[in-house]
Amino acid sequence: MQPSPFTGLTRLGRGAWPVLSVPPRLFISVLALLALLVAKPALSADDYLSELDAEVKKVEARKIDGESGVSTVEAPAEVSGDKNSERAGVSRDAFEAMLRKRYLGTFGFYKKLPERSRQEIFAEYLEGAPISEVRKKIIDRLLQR
Amino acid sequence: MLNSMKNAAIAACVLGIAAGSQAVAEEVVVGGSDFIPLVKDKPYLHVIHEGRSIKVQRVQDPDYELKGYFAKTARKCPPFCIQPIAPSVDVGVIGEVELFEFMETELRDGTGVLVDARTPSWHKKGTIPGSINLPFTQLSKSIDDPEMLDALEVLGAKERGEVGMWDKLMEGWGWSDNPHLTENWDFSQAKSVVVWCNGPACGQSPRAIRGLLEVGYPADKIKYYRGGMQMWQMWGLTTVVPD
Repeated sequence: MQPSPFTGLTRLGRGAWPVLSVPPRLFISVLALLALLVAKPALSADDYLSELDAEVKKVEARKIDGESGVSTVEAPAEVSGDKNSERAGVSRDAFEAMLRKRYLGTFGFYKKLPERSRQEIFAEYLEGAPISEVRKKIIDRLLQR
Repeated sequence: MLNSMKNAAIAACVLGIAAGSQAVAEEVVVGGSDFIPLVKDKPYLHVIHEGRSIKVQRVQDPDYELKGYFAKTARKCPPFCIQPIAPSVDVGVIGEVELFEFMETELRDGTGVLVDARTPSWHKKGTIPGSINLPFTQLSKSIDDPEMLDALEVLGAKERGEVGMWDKLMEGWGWSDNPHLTENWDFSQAKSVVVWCNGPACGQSPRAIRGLLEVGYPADKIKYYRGGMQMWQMWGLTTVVPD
């Protein structure tokens, strides 16, 4: 009997094309592994955020001489006042904790507001404004209104 | 003789410098022939930022050159690769002139929102006046995430209550006259948003826009300012450092 010219290969039935004797699953796994090795790894969301964090450190404050046209405007300074003012027995920390617990998104917006707006909102809360109004005010302030 | 010539030369120099200073001073006079306006016939504009009016104008120093991060041409790619002109074929792309117009119309009357879609650490370094910070990380959340729900509320979208069977049927057949309705959301009062980030090599605002589209925000209410902070600074336009 003549040896098969397809060393390492086998035949699948009569007239079939020669195929690798390696099990298909293993073959596909090897191919996938090779593809992974060759391809550049895609950036995950976390990687992208890490890259963004690293990149932002390269940005310096923009300073331009005022005489030639002020180009960077400092935001208004914080309104002076007692940040930990307590009225009606509710501390600002407690108010913020409540906001964080019940309205996480709104809390996120609240944290972005300048200190004077936060004070204003807290004061309104202490005066008894319903939470819907407090949330609306936070959004209004966020929208520069 | 030598001394008097020297003195005359110094005097001429001083006079020349004085004349030059005057010329420079005249340059920044609004309406002066050398004044650099935002666009023709619009020397500057005002927007409200964090409760106060900010004058948006261009740097008047004729020798001013952009330096620092936004003057760089090289960025690591990926992830900071040049972006396509638009993140979606349905979303319009605008430049500075259209942004000025937006600031003076929709942003001013409250029907529009200017969104700085960068992460807070970027926003804190300086932003375009009138912007609010809605990071792409928030705008990429799913529709049932509290952060996305609040972002949609800020942008004027309303959750629909119980929808009648007849309305459902009409909408299902495409016979609704309101193109801004989804199954659970009504975007008919949603604001026009202009979304921006660091510029043409920044992927943050495209991600934010795709996130908004994903939850059904109407594409015709979204505009992409592709130039972003890089082009804004390249034109020497006013930026603000948030509180």
